[in-house]
Amino acid sequence: MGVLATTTPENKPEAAIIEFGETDNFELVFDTSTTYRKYNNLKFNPNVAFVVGGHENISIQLEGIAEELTEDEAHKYKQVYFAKNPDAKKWEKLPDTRWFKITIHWLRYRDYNSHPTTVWELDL
Amino acid sequence: MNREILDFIKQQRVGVLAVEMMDGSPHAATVHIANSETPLMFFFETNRDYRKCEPLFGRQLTRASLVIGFDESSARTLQLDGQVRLLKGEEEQKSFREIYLEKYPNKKAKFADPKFVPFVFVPAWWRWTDWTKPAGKIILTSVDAN
Repeated sequence: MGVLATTTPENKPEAAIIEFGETDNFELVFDTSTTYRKYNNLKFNPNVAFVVGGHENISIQLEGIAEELTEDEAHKYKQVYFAKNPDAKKWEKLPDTRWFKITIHWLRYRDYNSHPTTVWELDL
Repeated sequence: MNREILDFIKQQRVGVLAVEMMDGSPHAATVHIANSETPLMFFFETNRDYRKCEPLFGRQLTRASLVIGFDESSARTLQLDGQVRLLKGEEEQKSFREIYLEKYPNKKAKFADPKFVPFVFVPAWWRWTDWTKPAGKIILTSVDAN
């Protein structure tokens, strides 16, 4: 699980936990419902920030662009998503379920367990 | 906010804070959390070189969203929306020292560093989701609580 931050049409950030998968091409995939606030936010502003980790003093921050997938596009992304989150299969056929991929344009890895702290960033 | 949620917050050390950058895009990072209960306020610190300082020093108030509880094993999560700002006045500086630095005493040494930036998050809305109850998922919001 990670935390996804989206913004309202007025640019107010809203953050929520999500389950996610990742492709070999370094894209993230997640599902959501059209009834959730993040769905409406993403329709207005595709810029997202995402954080995974943190509890073991290691975290990865990402920023990127989220794009809703068509059913055909979603097929390959669902495979990696369900491989990681098999329980999420129960939401797949719900009429409100939608799929998004995130194309990452910035990433920061930080490990506070090392001395000095290990930090590296990537612009993609 | 009820005692169960406040106790959950008290047990947590890490949250994810998302802030509105000056261009309107979101920026999110893990933060160590410490809070007062009346009023409910969260204290954090960051480094002057970090990205969240751009809106902290660029505006008086910056809209923000905080998630506490994103560890799958806890099966409970609290989302809060509100605003972050730099500390105001000696009273808040004192609260920061008593609440934040007492919870994270290893950071006391950094307090004198000119790049050490304490700040506060004041929530205006929250939503508690709890998957641990036998009856199923429980959702409670600040609107329900009022």
